[in-house]
Amino acid sequence: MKRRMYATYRRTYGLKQRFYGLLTPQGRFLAIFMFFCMIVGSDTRRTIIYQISAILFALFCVAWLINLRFKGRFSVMRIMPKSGIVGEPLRYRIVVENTKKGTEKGLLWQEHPYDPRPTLHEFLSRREPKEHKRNAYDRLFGYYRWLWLIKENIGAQYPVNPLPDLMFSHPESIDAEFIPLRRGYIRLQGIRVMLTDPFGVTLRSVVISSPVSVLVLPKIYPVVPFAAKGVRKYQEGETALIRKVGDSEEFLSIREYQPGDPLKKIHWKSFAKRGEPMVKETQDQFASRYALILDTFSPHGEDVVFEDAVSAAASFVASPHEPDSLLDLLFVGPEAYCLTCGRGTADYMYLMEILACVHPAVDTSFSMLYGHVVQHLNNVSGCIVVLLTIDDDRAALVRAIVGRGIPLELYLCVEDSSEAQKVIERYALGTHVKILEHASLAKGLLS
Amino acid sequence: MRPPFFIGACLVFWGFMTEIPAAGIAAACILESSFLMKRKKEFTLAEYTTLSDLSTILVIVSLLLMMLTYEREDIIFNFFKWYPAAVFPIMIAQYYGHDEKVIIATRFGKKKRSAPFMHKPLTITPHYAAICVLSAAIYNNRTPLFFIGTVVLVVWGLWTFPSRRYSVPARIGVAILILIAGILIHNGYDYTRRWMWDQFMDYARNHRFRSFRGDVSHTSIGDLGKIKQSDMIVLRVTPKQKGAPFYIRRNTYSIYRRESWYVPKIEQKALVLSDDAWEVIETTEPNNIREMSIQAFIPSGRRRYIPIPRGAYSITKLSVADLSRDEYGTLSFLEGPSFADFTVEYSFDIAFEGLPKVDDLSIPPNEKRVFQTVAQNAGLMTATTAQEAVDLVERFFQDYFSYSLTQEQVPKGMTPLENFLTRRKQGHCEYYATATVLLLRTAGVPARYVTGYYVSEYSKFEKKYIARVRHGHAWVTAYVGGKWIEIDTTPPAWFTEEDRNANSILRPVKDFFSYIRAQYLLLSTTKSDVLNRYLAIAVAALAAFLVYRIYRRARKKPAFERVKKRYPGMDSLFYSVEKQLMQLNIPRPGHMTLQRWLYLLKERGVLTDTSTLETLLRLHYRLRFDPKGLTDEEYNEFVKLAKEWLLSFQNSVKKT
Repeated sequence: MKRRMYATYRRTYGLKQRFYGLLTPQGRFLAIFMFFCMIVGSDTRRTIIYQISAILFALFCVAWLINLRFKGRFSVMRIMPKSGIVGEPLRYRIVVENTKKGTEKGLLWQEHPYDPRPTLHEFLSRREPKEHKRNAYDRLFGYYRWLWLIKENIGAQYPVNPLPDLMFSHPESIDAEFIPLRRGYIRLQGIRVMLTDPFGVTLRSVVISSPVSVLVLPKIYPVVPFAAKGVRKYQEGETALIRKVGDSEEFLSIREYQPGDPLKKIHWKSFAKRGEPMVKETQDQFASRYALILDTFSPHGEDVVFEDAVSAAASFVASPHEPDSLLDLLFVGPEAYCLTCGRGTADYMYLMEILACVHPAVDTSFSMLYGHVVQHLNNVSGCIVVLLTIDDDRAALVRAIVGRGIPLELYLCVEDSSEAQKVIERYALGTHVKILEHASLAKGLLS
Repeated sequence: MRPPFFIGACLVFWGFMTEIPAAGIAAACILESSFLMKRKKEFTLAEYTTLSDLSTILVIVSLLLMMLTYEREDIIFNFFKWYPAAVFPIMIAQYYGHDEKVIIATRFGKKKRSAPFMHKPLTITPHYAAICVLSAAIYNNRTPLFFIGTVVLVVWGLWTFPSRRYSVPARIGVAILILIAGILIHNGYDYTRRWMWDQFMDYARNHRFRSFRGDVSHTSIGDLGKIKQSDMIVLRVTPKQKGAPFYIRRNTYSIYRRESWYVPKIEQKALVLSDDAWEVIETTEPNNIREMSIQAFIPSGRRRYIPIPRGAYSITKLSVADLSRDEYGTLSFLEGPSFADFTVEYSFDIAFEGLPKVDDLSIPPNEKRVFQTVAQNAGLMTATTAQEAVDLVERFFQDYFSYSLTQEQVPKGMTPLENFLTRRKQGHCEYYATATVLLLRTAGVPARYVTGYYVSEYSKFEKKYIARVRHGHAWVTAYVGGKWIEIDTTPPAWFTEEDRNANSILRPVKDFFSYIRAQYLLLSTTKSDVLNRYLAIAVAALAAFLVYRIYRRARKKPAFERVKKRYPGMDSLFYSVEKQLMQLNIPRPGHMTLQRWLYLLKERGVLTDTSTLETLLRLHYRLRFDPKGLTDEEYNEFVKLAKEWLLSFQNSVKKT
């Protein structure tokens, strides 16, 4: 059923976009009114509604004929920042040039995103926030899921703005902005330059190609620094990671080679002198290393709770860190990931980019994250865990971390905290958990 | 941007077109005088809900009043005539409210404490303008002013759209062009519609669409399987004299083509209404006068056909705008209700079905050979008189044929009628009637196909004779001995067979609801003054109760507003300062920060020194939004400063 509906929605959306591309909002209102009058007033003896439809039809015909003359040619350049933040206006400049002789007046422009229609796979696999609360009919037909996916793929509200008068070969620079509505990459195909008729009911548009991608980061809030609570730990074989600071390169002694010693530790000069392999011993390498564990197993898809969890994780990544500390981001997407940044490994921006694009884990179980985290626990000095809910698996993970004596900050993202407290008490996690309620996320992160 | 005086113009236009100019002008004045208000009201969600609900009640009450006051056909026209007035309260919010957009919300069907159902905010001016124009159009005041007025309103409404590309003269030129194009399209519209309708009807006739017109009867001849028809009661008959069963005619046909019967183009004679009686045929006191009351559902169509007994010469209490009789004696009207209650006087001695015509003897070429053979075998060709031919046909069907609602596949190369007459010899009334007509015509006797109802079932509950859809029947009228007589060759077992076929345990329940529906329709078509009075009182009481409930709700803050969350610093004295600053006639739009506003007040020279205000604002912001808040000392200082400023401001206002 969903496949059939997908094909229908896809076709209908295409038609709708064509309709929207031809008419302004007031034009759409009048067009719908005209069709309504055509149907209701079909009996010309009973009412004179048909006269309204005749007038509106004449209006559209005349407007369409007038707009036919517009055949503008333009070139566009965008000067855009690399990233923006969800819900914050993204400001940039565009430079438009009229490449056709004459002056173009009274034009409008709007950003033109790529075709936002989701693929069949997307339509079948992604779930709208709170879809489980919809009735069976809506869930079966997936119309609201379709609308949500379209909105997600468009990614922002693009306003329609007027263009200044464009003289031939005189580039005009315009300040522009739009508000990103979701995190991740927003891909724009170009800009749409539009002309309306004298009464503003019909549109004639030209799309000028100017592809660009902007990274939209999750919302970031101030957080209480975590680093002070951790301890430095031995980081085996991570010389490269701690080359710049700390005591990693301290030479201790030379000893005979033992099977298992890494080749890079062979002291070649002594090898040449002694005729047998010698290895150099360096002082043990210590560094603070924190794990940021993000629970991506959202029970209800990409809902506000999941977004809050990503925002919380991004806020920890973006918060000031100790200069010699490392931060590991552990989460499960299509597979288990551990991404490290700090001390010259990778920029924090890299983690932000990853967080901007993270989606809930599908077709994988929480045990995958559990195993992945337990593997890394030996190296970490402290853990920040952001959970979406608490159940047996998650409680086991928390106990595993606490059981090893690793300092832990546990955050539980919830939409409404009234039920959360009972669950926490049931699993006896009370002392560790900080509840991040959707309505007061910023406050929760600062407490 | 709202076009100046646009909605006023729409209301005046509506008032004049619907012949209530005073209402239109008054409403226009109320809305357009909103610009006299210096400060607009900030409507809360509860107030929007109240206004929306009030509009809903007005719409419902006006509809009920229309139903009580007007005939069924006029209800819709009068309801729409007053529709702009019914939804007027919400326009008050649009014009007297501070917000550009209004919220349409309702609490009907919601629990007391929950928030209302609401639409996202929208500007309803264009919608209301459309309602005004539509209302004027439905009223059907056919003057050229409507067309010109609508063009003016469309241009007026769209004029505010900013266009730097087109000059004012150019836009006026385009408006004139729209007017001319509109006139051309308007003139072509009616012609095109008629042409398309004719084309569609031709297509429908040729492609055997199920008929929704009475002048075509598509039979079930040739359909396979078992025919099962509805149990719905469509006709109720109360005869004055005994004599059941009754044959009640609906239409008479004479042209048979491809399993359908058609009425040829025949003359329609308009009947005259005198003393509440339609005179169907001019006659002096006939013999054997009979009378019956009929309540019938009239199927929709371009013409609506009235079921009557044969020989009807006078119809009383039938409320239709027009009534005409064709040459075959069929009664029909163009404008009237879908449920009719009337009394008919009839006499079998009166015949007014016209003289036989060529069509009454026509046989389709593809059936000619079969019918000649069958007529020969039945001895029809040797019949000397029409009566003898009729007797032979009746005997022929009686002896060799039986009734059946089931039909099997017709062998290749045979028509369904040929199969019926020569092979299967079983069928339902349409087979018998069609075959009888064509056989009589083969024998040279003019005959026609008649459809209607065979009324023999008596309802003890209703104390009336009733006819259901499945009692629909077809029979024959033949011209014998200088007059038309009725012949029914369908075996008498058909009625029992139909009854057995449609036996349902739910029939009494269905019949009861059918009775209720008929009673309602009866009331709405024949309203008595007493009933009207009682209903009007009931409607008034209902309206009063609903208005009282809204009034109570408006006075009492709804629960969803009462439990509004309190935030720290919401009692800050800076709000009093802000209220005072509002009086300086430099409004602060919603998006402007307080800091920017203070800067603006200083820049415009309204305030000379804003340093105290800036300090107050800084402390206010900390009080409101800083999680640590203000220390006691800081708070005391804030209160002191605010009070001092308020005092000095009030003093300066008094001086000026």
